[in-house]
Amino acid sequence: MRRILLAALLCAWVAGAIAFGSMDHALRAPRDLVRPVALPFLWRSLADAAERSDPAEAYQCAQRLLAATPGWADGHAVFAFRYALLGGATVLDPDARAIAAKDRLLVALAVMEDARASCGPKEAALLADMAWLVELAVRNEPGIAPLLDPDPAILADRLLAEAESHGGGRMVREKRLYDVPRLCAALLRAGDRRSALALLDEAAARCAQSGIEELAGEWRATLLATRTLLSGEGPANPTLRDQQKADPRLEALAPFLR
Amino acid sequence: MRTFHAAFVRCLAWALPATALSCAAVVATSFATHSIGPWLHAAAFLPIAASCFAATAFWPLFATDGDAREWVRRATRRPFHGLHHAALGSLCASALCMLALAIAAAPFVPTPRAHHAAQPIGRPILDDAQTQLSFEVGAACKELRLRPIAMLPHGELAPARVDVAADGTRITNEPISFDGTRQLVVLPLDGRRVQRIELRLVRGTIPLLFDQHAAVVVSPDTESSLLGCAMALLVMLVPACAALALAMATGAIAALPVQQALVLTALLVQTAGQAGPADAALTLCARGHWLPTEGLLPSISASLLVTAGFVLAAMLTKKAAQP
Repeated sequence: MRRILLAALLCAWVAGAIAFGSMDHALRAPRDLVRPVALPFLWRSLADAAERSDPAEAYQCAQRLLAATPGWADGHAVFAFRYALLGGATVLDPDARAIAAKDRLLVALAVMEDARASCGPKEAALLADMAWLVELAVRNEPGIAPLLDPDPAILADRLLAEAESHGGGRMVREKRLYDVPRLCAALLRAGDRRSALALLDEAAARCAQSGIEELAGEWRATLLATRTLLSGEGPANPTLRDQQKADPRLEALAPFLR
Repeated sequence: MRTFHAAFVRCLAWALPATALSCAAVVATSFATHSIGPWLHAAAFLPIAASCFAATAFWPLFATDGDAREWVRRATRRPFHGLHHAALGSLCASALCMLALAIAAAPFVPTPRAHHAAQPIGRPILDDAQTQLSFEVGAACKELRLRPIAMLPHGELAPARVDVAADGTRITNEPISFDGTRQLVVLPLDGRRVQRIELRLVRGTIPLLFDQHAAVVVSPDTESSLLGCAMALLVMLVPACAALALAMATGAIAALPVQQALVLTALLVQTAGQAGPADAALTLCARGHWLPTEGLLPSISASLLVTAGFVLAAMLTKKAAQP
């Protein structure tokens, strides 16, 4: 009798939790109860996999650990970075290595994307980390840039734009504005000159509105000068072109500055 | 023999539903997560625990609080009064359940291959003083896995760059870079027989220490997944042996709830707690290692020695409990 009563109580609790909340609400209490018991084993299996198995298994163990600690945005970033950037254990030829690196990057981004909902106020930080991951992966293995669609610069900018819209702070805004030349180069490579010029206009306007002295002054002027050169408006200005080509921040745009 | 049969049937009746649940869980989670991962451990634990619980609940001499205890004690022979038959029945039921689970899990386990640790010749270090290191292999190789310990750099940090050759032929187009400890590098080989692997430090300031398992050769021959899985799951009987032997030893002094808590704790310590061969066997199976080459025998022997100690203690406690 007591067992039936207990079972009925449990069913009522689960039904109530689902009715008034969601399945997540229903599972939260049992998950919270199990977590302290499970965490040491999850950490140990992660350490064991990292030391004795391959990076893919280590990342799977990390995901199980992260599933037990929802909201840990830094954890998601650390394990995804480790897998995407250092997971290429097998020695391969350059093409196969680039494909493997791209696959790892896409898996890491998918896992981070999946984790966004659980990160709450840290979602913007996670999105900014995703943008960093794209850039670092391309820097680490340049062969993956042509394999990615959209272009890595466009992908990173989209992620930063989303981070900005989710309350990303000044760092995200600044980074996005300083990354404009690379995004502009990606658009030019794709043959979209009009969008590239529009992007420079918008970036200059955003620099002016940013309220950050360095952005509103020197960087805005640099972007406007770049726009002038790219659009071909006005007389040729070789001095300005050489000056722009020498600027390391505009390195990605150098082939287009004529 | 009748005790054995009755215990076997009772334990099977408890363990079979647990096995069915475990099989379903393994198949479902393997499909969902594309890896058998830790689910195999949980799936193996459930039937073993159910069978051990059934044995302790079934045979009255496993606990002090059974009504039939005294009657059974008088009616059965010394020294164990049927405890060993009940334990054996439970182990046989567990073995049967493990085989059923092996059939369900085998399709999801990576194809097992023998992994052999290559033995270094001489001082197992690559540094400025010793820029070459050879390993004796003498086997066919599908891949070479290097995972050295990176020691403190001499001078300014520069990753160690290492050339790898098999029987004098270079197998890397460019030197491999090591900059972290236990950093894994997998070198695919064409499956030919290799006598010797040679490593040469090209440049870098990080000395590399190649301890016992830092260079592992993977065999190109595949073994049976079903056999590999069955062997790994049968190793789960070792913790069950120890747990039942502990229950035999404490049968004269503890009531059933205490006994079952002891059995559960003993099983948990030996599986999740990794104090025994079971966890390692299942992990290695899930990673595609062929168990007979993994050197689990010392660990299994140690667990069986502990079991023998508990059985000896059971004999002594039963003797002491004689009126």
